[in-house]
Amino acid sequence: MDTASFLNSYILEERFPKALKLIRTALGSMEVAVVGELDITEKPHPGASSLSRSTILLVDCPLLDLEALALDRAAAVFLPLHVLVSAAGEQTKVSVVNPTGIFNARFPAGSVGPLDRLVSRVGMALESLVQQHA
Amino acid sequence: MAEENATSTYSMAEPYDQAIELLRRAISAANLTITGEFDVSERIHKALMLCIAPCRVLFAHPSSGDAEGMSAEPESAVFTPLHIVVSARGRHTQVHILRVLPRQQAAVGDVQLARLSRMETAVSQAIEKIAMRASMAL
Repeated sequence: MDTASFLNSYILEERFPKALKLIRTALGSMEVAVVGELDITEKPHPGASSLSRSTILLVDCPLLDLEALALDRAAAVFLPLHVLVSAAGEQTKVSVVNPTGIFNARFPAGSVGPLDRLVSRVGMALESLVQQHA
Repeated sequence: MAEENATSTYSMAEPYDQAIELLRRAISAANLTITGEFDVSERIHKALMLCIAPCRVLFAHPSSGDAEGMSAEPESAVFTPLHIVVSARGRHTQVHILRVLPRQQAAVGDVQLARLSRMETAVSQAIEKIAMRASMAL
């Protein structure tokens, strides 16, 4: 299986706090909401000048949630979607992984389409931010 | 080769609210931490004014050890923390978790796969103390 086929990464030319705000706004324009946030910033090493912040945004779209769960609630194993946002100096790196591409397995009935569409919407939101800066 | 399921399902005889409490205690006893919860049914009800059977996602994370450094990698962040789905099914409850498949069927690195597998094992062992695999449940 090919890692590159399911992992999309974006570099935003903004520092972490501002990038986070822009990401939320861009996702909103694609009708994707941030329903939760997990700060996974690693503890600083001794002598480190600053923290390198990382956070996982939990994102979803209620209509796609409903469609994914309609036939099998197991689809919620993959919802909400995780979007990794990491500080990289003056830039911010955003990574989105499509869960349907990680394992070659049978996903809960009716869940692949809505999951793919959710990942696609997130991708379009992030691409719009990259293009704005280009 | 027949495709394997991406998730595992367990059945609990207890009704939904009771099952969630039992699950929280079992998860805690297994040295796992629930870092957050997401009420999917409530989310859909508020956003779309539609009622579905109660369904909640618990986000589980190891309390120590493997938690460090794992989530900051993109391929790990997609599944960390692990989602434990609890859904009402009539008078009973079902629990769903990710099923970590062998290396040949996964597109993540060996180290990440091993860590994910250990976390899945810890979660499934905790669940199996209070629930039964759906294929064996009556």
